[in-house]
Amino acid sequence: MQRRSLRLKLDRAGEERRDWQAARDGDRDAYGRLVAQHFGGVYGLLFRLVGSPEDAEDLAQETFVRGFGALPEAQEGGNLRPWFTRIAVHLFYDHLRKRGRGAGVVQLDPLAEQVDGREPEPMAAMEQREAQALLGAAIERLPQHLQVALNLRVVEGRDYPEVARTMGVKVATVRTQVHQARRLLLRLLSHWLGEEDR
Amino acid sequence: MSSCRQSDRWLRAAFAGELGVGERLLWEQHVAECARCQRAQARQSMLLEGLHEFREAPLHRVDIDAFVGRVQSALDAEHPVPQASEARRPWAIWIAVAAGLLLALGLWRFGGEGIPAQTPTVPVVAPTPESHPNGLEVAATETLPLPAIDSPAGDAPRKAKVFGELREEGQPFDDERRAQALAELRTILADLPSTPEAYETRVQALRRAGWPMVAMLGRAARDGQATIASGAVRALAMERGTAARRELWELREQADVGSLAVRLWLQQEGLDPQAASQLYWEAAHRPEVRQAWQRIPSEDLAGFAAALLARAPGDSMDGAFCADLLDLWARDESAGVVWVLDALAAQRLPWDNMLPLLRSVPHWEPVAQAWLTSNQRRSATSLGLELAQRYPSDSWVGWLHNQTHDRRFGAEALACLAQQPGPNCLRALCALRQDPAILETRWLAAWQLAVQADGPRVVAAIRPDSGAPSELTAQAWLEALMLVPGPEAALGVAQCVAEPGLDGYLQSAALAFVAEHGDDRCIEPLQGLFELSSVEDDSLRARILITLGILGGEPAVRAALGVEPLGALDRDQQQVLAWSTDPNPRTRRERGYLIQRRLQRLQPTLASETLE
Repeated sequence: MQRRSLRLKLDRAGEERRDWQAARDGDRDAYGRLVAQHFGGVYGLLFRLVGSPEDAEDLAQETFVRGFGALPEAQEGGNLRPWFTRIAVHLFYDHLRKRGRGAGVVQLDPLAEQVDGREPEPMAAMEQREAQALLGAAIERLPQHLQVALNLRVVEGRDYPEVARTMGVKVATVRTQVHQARRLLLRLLSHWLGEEDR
Repeated sequence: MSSCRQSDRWLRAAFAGELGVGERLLWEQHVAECARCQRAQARQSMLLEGLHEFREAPLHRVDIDAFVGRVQSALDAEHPVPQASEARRPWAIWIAVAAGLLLALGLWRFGGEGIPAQTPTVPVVAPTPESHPNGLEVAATETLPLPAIDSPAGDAPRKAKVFGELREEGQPFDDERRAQALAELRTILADLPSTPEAYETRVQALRRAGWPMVAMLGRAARDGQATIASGAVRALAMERGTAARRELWELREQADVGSLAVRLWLQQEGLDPQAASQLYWEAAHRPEVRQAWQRIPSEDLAGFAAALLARAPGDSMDGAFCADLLDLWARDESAGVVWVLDALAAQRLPWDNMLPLLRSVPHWEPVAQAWLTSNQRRSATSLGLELAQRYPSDSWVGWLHNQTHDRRFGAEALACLAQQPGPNCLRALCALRQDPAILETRWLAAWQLAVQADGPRVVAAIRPDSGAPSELTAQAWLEALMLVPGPEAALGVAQCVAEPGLDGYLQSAALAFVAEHGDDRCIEPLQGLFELSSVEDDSLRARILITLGILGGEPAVRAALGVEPLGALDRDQQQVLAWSTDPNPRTRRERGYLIQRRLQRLQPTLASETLE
């Protein structure tokens, strides 16, 4: 069974390499297969970063369009996932720059007031939604590079070397960034985590 | 024992991923003994879980084929395909040279006979189902790119184009890879994943390798063994794209899997009048279809009827047809209810049309609740909450009670439970009051909803002799009672206004409530309260006396003051006594209200001044 799965994996890597070579020579169909293969990862990351399915899809499309032009720069035989992800991350930075840093950011304080207050608004008191809303708001308040590091490492579970390749930094830097992100999140969420007594 | 402060530090360390094993053990030991830290830990877990599942991308909403098409259109706009004369010139030259050589060779070879007008084609004989009982071999052989030896040379590129399967020219799928793919697909169909996402993961490798999934599944559904055929139909329902839908529709006449195909097709597509008309006409006029339909289990027929009725009345549905459908529906209403619920949970059918049908079944709720209990999917729970909100009844209480601990729907279930009519709802609410897993704020919100929904019922339920109040906090009880003004509520308030843990403001408001809505029955509890109240608590004692003065006049005040000689009374008490001698209850009440209101506005310590 292991040999079979290894073989499938090798087949897949081989197919990706062949598709990459064909796409680099201008084969749109081959590139379409690469797009279909990597769409989920790219779109998922962008959706988590921008929070809007429409924006994520637009950015994903832009990622693949740019990726086609830059295919010759991709390392032959290398995994294309970090490479596409890197383009997506740069586009996300551009997107934030164009949009303005705080434009789409959910403010944490009003939510915190709702949580701490004892106003008996039944639906607003749903703890689960509070957790999701607070977490989303807190992550959006993190600096961009910490958001990206946290998403890639903690949410998506990619390994440190891959995150480092994607972000173009050293592995040790990624470790520090993930740590910083967790600590900042903790600070932003501390009022909700432990200090509120029933 | 560790302190909660230390536990908070551990909690933060755990969130940051810095908690050591020893510390974790100590922390868990503390948490096991401390309700406050248990809640904090639960919240931390909620956050960590939320972090790992943060914003799951709605991939199912994106049509990947369409997306790839858009990318390719954008590429066409940004990177136009180079003209053959520019980009392919070296190849073009080679091809031209090769063509010239071939032409010369042909002229030399055939000489005066000339070139045949058409290359003779070699028929590809499809193996019969008998030779390949599971059908997959047939599908793969017929529809997969064939090695050059199996097909005419000129046909191979066409096949490659049609199916988009040849990854590289000259390297067709070999027998080994085909056998591997067939074995893989057989394994998938025999143990088909239940969700489209899981299915997609399983078939990803096959799809990437270019195997024509829809064609293979269609053939497997027609010719495969029972398990494989049924798996193939279900797999088709999980395939994206119109080709899969069309294949599913085409399978409706198949004896073994036709009903399943129709059922899945209906679940996905709903039923427009045209398709309804087609299905009904086929069942009515074509013997082979009727024969196929005869084998359809009754629950499918009821579902089929439900789907048709959901769209009625369409142009193609006359009265007799609807009557037939209703007859069909009535054959097995329970199965029909389950079918409707299934379709509603999958959001495949319009609510407004389905709900009247659902409610036309007497006692549909127990059937629905049994289905909900056995179906733990989130969409099902969400549907159950929606139904319980739309059609509240005492029968929902048990199911809702069980959902209150659900991480995602707990709060909604609690709120929904609070609004159900009948006594069971309040019993369940009172029981949940003692449940440590239920947040107090959430519980109070639900309690207020219950009071707002049916105040008198709540008051009746929490009367001292009902047995319920012991499970309620005094605060919750008072707040609930004061939402439903009346003598009964006032009596309840008078009985619990001295409970420990109530703040002065709430007590003051409660006594004002008693003065306004209470009757003679409130006097005795208030006198007892006065007797038990601390001598130092001037403010509370003054308020009790005023309330007694309003409700019972001088006798009530004097009785509360007991045997104390008048000379021993303080100035405030003497004033209340004097004021309460007014025989006119109305005047007493007006004066009492005035003072009560002033007391509420001023600080309690100023009470004696306001009495003057």
